[in-house]
Amino acid sequence: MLSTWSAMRDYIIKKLLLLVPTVLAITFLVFSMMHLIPGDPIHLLLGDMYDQRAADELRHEYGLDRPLIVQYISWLGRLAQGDWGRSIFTHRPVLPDILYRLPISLELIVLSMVLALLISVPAGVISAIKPYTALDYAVMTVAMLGVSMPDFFLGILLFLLFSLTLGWLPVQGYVPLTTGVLDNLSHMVLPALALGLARCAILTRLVRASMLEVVKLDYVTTARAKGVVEFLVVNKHALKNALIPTITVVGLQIGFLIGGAIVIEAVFGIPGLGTFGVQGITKRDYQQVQGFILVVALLFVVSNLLVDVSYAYLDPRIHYEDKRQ
Amino acid sequence: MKNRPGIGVCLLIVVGVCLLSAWSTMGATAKRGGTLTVVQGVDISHLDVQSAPGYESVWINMNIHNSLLNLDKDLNIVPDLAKKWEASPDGLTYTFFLQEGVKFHDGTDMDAEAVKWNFEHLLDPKTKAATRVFYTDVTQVEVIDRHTVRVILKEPNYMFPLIVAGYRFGFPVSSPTAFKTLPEQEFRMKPVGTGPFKFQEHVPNDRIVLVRNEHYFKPGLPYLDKVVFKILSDPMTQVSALKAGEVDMLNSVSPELVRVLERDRGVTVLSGLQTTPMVAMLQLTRPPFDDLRVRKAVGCYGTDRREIAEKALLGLAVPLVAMAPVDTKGHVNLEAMCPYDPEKARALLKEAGYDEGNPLRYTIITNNEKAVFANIAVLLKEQYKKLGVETKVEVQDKVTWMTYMVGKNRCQWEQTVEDLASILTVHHNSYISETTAAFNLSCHADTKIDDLYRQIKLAPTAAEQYKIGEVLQRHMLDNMYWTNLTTSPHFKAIRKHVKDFDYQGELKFFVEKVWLDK
Repeated sequence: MLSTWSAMRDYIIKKLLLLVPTVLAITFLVFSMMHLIPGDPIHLLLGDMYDQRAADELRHEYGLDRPLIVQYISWLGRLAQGDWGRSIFTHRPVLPDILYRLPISLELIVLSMVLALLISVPAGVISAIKPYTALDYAVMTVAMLGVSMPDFFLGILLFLLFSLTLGWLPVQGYVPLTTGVLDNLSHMVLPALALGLARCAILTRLVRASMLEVVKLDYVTTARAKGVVEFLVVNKHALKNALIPTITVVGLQIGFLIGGAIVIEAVFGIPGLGTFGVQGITKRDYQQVQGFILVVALLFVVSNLLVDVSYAYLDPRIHYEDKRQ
Repeated sequence: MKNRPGIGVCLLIVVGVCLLSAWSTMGATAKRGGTLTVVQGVDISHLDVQSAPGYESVWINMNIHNSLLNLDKDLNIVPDLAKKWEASPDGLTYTFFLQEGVKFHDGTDMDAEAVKWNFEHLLDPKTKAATRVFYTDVTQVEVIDRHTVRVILKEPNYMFPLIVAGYRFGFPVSSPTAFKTLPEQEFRMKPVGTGPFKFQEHVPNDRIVLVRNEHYFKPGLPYLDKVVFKILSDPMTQVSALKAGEVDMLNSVSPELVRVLERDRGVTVLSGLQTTPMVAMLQLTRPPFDDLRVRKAVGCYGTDRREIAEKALLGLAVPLVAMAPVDTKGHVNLEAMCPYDPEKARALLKEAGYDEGNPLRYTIITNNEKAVFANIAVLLKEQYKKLGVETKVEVQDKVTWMTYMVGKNRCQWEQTVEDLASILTVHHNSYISETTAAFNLSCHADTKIDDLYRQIKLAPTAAEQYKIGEVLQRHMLDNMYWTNLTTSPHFKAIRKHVKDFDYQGELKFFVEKVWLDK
């Protein structure tokens, strides 16, 4: 047992060490791409009052007159000292803005994933244990609709129904959890639904497909033959194994959720990380984009690491090899 | 005596009308308190009153600061921090008599020294003041006494009171003490003025909150306790939030959403002043538009402005040929100079060497800041097709588009569609149409334009200024230095309970007299 945990620990450390070059490569790639695409933030900043001297001064002030590689290394150097840089437009330090927005986006992402799982797992299981029935077709049709419908469109439909027509929930805005849990949830439920339903559709199809495979396996048949009640066969024996591919996709979906959150945050007026990133990209606010990308890359890599680790829990046959043995 | 029921009924009606009238008057009495939530589509970069870009920052700052002079809703000059002003007959000296007992939000005095510092601060190139270009005539600012300031100009400028009252912001006065004592970043984000509201907080991409200035110098004002500028980027969400009553006002409404809002009984759509031009500027430093005949063919006779106003702007805009929009001081109707005449356009193109065998081909660029720009560009493409002109429409994001408008790449395009800044007077447009202006979009090099702008400010009366302004606009059009399409209408939408809001287009946005009837 001890060796299993030590192998797991080594695996996590190895993954965390790999995380550093991965994230650095992503930030370098994005940094290069941002500077390759046309557009100069100083032009936008000065607008119709553009003045070459003022523009040169500003470029110098933000270090934009230096070679690209020097700019990137300088950003890395400052980052190592905990300085994430300042926004070109607002002059605000990037890190506090990210720290303010990150929990908001995380709440949205977690809520939407929880909603997606709460709906998709039972729906997928029911669909799998009653395959090719009316119920199965109904679930799959709804899932197909969910996959096909863009997040923002669903978001608009949701607030038109629940906010404007029924008046049950607010159209927009964000209330921190610390102000009031109910108030917070009333503002977050529609965005989380809009973001989660598409994920829910994908996961339902996946759970159904995995379950259909697993329920045919010998150990499930054995469990049934031994007289284990059907509820336990499905939920204890079959589902646990069927969830492995689902968990993989959940990890991969984090990236899509961040992408979806960008749009959903704009639709529902939520001051999250997505709007921060979009604003940075559209204004070519390089420091802001770098900060955003760094956080997104970290989120993505860490969520995938958590997925890897969770395999060992879900399937005891999977373990991380201790090469010293 | 005969019973006269008719008189009784009449009396009852009169009494009823009187009571109703009294009741409605009572209902119209301004109430103290409440929070006004105003939606803005984009967040602010910062709130440095001199350099913050975009109308959104200017509109917020207008409620934190007072200007030396100001404009009423009919664009007449009215006192603000200066209770009166005097101009010397030679137009070289302007004396401003300041309100007494006015304090900045930090408790310091707003006096002649503070106003002098504000002039010096504005003129300092390091400030990067957006309006500095209008104040280059100022040579000296003298403090006469604690509440009197004299501004001396190097040459007469009879536009000066209008510049101080309404070019961009006007002349906002901020606290010199705040500038000197606060760290630079804090001064940029926490403006300190004398206005009806004090800055409280800015939550990026969410809201900017202003609170009532208890010591405001205008008696009884403001009525509101708080003003929240809520950032909502999605137009559909903006409209839904207003309809649901979650917000009280939309500060800028896209033309395509106007009809949707007009159908809501709880909402009033405000419009009126048309001081912003929608342009389709032609670049005259390179082919094909270095040839005046081609410019005339495309920009003048080949453009159906009425169709653009009707289709792209849904009949909410006015076709515009002259440089100054219809409600700008000095506007003249020059439609007769550029009637829609495709035959004449085709003839001019032929004369310039373009026909079916050698069609004129070029690219129209625009940006995605407003959806209507792309719609207009596509409509122009269709109109020009009828002339045998083949165009390609390129919609860029605003930052990319800007690289073609200013800086090293400027003048490297053929035609562009945009709406430009709102202008109070013809002279106001000098900063983007003089030869030396960085934003001289057509890149003309005709110094006669500069001279005419100078003559306007040297003219002592409005009548003379308008006369020279007309000459300038005719000269612009004769040479197609400036190609207007229509006005660019500006809409705001408010809930019915928002009272006493004076719509002033994009030029001004004040809520000091606004109150909530709920």
